Amino acid sequence: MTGTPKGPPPEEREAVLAVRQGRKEAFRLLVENHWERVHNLLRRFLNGSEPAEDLCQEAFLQAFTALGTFDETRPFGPWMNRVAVTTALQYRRKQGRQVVLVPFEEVVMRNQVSGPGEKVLGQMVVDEFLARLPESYRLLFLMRYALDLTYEEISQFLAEPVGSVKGNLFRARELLKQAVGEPAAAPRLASVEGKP
Amino acid sequence: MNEPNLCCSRQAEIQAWLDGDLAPAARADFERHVADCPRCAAALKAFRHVDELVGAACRPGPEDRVQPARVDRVMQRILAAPAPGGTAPTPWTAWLAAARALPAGAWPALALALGVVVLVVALSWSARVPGPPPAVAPPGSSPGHQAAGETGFVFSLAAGSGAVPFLVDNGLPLATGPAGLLARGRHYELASGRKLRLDADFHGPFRELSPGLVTRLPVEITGPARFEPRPAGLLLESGQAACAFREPHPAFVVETPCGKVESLGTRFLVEVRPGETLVALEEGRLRLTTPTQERMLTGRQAVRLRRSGEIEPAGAPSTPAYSSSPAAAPPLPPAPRPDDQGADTLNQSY
Repeated sequence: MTGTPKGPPPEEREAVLAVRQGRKEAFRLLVENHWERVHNLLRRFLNGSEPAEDLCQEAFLQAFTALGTFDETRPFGPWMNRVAVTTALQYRRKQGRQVVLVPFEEVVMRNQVSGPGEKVLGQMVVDEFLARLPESYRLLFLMRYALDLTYEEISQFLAEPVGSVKGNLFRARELLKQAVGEPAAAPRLASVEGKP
Repeated sequence: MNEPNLCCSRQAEIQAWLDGDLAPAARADFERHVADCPRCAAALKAFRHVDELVGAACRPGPEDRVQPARVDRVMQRILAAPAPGGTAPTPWTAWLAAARALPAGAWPALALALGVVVLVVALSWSARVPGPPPAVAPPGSSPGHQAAGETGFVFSLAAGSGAVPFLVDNGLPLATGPAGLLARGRHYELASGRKLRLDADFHGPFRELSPGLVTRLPVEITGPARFEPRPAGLLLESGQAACAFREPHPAFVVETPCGKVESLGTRFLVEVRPGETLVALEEGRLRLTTPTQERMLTGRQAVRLRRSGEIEPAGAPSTPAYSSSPAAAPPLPPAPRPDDQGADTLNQSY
């Protein structure tokens, strides 16, 4: 899911080096290039309970402050993703709440994510499903699907074994699969295509 | 719900296949199985469909779009923050890098020059009359005023320590320590009609290198006000702040909801009003930054920073800047002079 590691875009590497040399304004390029993804993560994490912009600002401020620890030979995006997740978790801790991955209880979860008369197929049910998930599970989906983090990285953030992260995510997907229903015309697997 | 996939014993491998966790041989074997097992094929299709939907649902939406004003607000905070720490190049590492780049023939000349420098320093040192070390603290410093390890501006109550009933700190009347220090990162609220005189004292390498350069900078805040001490200056959410900085100092920043006011050795007043910030300058220079504009203000001028980011000429603030000693801080101008309307550009000023 993470793909082949690539080098950083030259302009981003130059921006990082310029900021380290004292040209703070050079950080603007990094904000412009990565705002959407970080704001998306934090908006969905907060789930409409409060505006995401402040937390997004905080994430970039933390990235700026910690830029000395960033390896500029690597892409800035994945590092910024980790800063964003850390910012979200720290934010909850400051509020006296810990984001903990509770064991998956299908009955409890099913009651939580679905309501009577709300069987809308496709994208809408997924949006609704994500919004109704417990915060830790929503973050799990976001880390995996929006930020493309590996299971190992996710397990470090949530202080859970990799197996537990994988298992819980799979069961949550299973639940969502049932809610979405069978695909009308699902694409065939590339590796299976062409077989009789 | 239709569940065609409950019976196959290889269901557990679906997740591993989707996650790319299967070894090549096991992967190929599972794919052969899927080709012959309609239940697993259907389950796999369903999971891929879910993954596509979740992937689409997790993509940024229109509300996440990057906008100049949003970036400006982040940059406003970043420009006011201390420079990033860590592996930033130091003068020493820069010197080493330059030394590495020198041609081999340059080393004897460099060694000779270094020897001369060492000799001159040694002679100067031996000529000094022994005596007490020079005072580093500025006149009027009290013991314990400096917060250990803190750099940037440190704020203390000009009146000294103790309880200040009209200054509220997180809902409680303020009680400062012996040095009367205000903590950074806390929101203080000053009661209506009250004035508070603070000393902004700069700490850091700049001051250590030039002890006489920066002394205490007076700031008077008029309530009702809400503010937060910051290393780069002051975050003024509401109320008035009058500053009379006669000594040279590093840029002192007053951040407001409508923009940033950066003082470059000056006397000025900032008043935060609903939807706008009024800035009146008496002397010196101010750099104003809003989400959409940046301007340099010189001479006797008053301007208004709008929420929209516009900066426009304005009348005088509602109250005099200082109530204390007129000699130390004379009142700010009643109104901008017509001939001062045009602010200098950044290029002119630097």
